[in-house]
Amino acid sequence: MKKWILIAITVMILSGCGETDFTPRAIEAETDICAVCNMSITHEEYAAQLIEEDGDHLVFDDLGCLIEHINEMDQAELGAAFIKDAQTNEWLNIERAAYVYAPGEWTPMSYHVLAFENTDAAQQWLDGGQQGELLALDDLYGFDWGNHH
Amino acid sequence: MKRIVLLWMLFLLWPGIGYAESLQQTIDALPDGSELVLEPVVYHEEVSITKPLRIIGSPGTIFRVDGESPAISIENTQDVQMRNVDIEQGDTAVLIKSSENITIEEIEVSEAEQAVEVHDSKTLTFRELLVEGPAGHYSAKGNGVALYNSEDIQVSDSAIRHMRDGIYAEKTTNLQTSGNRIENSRYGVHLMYSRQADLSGNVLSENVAGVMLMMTEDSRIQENTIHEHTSPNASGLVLYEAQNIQVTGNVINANALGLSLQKVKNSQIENNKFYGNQIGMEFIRSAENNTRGNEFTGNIVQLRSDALGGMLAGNYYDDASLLDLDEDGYGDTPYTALQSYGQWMVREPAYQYFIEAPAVVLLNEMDRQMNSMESAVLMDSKPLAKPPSEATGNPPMSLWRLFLGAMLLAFGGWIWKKESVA
Repeated sequence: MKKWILIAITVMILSGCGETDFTPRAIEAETDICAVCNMSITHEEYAAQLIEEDGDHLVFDDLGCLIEHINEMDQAELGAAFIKDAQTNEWLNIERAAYVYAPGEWTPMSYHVLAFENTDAAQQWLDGGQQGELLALDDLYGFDWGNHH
Repeated sequence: MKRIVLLWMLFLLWPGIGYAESLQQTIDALPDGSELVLEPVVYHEEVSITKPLRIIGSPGTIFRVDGESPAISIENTQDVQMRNVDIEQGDTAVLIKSSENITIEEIEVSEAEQAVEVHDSKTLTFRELLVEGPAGHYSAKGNGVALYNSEDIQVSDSAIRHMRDGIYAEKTTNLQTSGNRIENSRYGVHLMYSRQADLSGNVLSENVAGVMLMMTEDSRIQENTIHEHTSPNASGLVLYEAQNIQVTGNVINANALGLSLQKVKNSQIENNKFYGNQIGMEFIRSAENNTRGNEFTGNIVQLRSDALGGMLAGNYYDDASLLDLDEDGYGDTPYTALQSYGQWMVREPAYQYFIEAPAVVLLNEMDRQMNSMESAVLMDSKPLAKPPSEATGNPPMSLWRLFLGAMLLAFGGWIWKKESVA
């Protein structure tokens, strides 16, 4: 009997040590600041977010700040990263998003890169008369970011 | 009877009678360079100015405009002056685009989402603006004066409260701000990708940051009073990815963090007073800047840095235990900022809440005792013996001290001899 009680307690304890939740959290415009540039996140539609392996959330005011942070961090600590969709304001996993470098588009840190759900959506936005260059995630890691040289 | 009917018909058909001319129509009818004096009335229409004009309001001249259109638009023109009007409500009070030599002065803006917005313009003067933002959090508001891609701008003697940023400048060259008072906003002055800015004699208080200077170069921040920035994440000044910045002669007090340098190069931090801040100054990847002649008094933590440290020389620290036996004005031993806890606070700002905990006090004392043995990253090799504000031109009193010491010695000897005889 004691053995079964011990097993039950162990199962209960281990069940509390579940997998890390990599769901993006909501931006708190009144208190959130960018983990790279320290600017407060008042334009939520350009926000980005990184969740570390241990579940800690870091938020960023611009996609460029997120990429700068990823470039400098220990890659083993990267759990997941998200960026706001330029059209729907929904969180997109950066691995699955498509990007457009649009120098004419304002972003909080003037990186001028917008994220879209997929390449079709990005291309559709460009076909609508917007000036820009289609990019993939890998392009961003070594990208020459607009004014931010 | 016929005469009366004729008179009545003439009245109906007479041009100019039967409707009031709008202000826009009046403006459109004026020749270039005219002066228009506005009546002390409330205008419920937005106006567009596209020619050289001088518009002067009277006490009681008010623009009250709803909707998203700016109350006053000045576009594709030059030599426009506007003075002495009040603007209430609306999205943007004054919008200036592609214009040159514009002067806006004695304008009071209240409840507008944004007071002044400028794009692609040159040689602008804003003087004596009084801007009071709408209620609510700054994230839902616009800026006091927002400048984009513009040059040669002066903003002076203005009071701006409760906006997102008091003055926001993006890709702007030669911005001069002086004599302004900016309070209760996100950032007092926010510069991005700008050059040759000069911030002098402003009073910035109770914002999230008094000055937020980002990716900006060749600029000066001098003789400003920057105080009481104490909200979460607040700082007096934040310099981020900047170079060739002179921060001189400012009074920086009662802030959560006085001055933060982040990725800053080739800049001078000189002759500032840091007092009563939770943390006086921090260096993050900003080791190559000159920090001299500053006065650090009454701060809970004087300095903190990352592992790269900062370049310090000739500053005054009120927590330094110094002797100046050679009376050259500098301490005979180096000053090292207490580091261990300061370092941790860089990584985790919430640790500041434990700053007077017994364990932290003990750690600080251990740091103090071991300073001479460690290779400190925040060491001032020539700390000032006196604060610069107390420095006088009097010659040293060495002879007097020598005489006094000799007299005391003689008196002591006399006492000793007298006691021995007794």
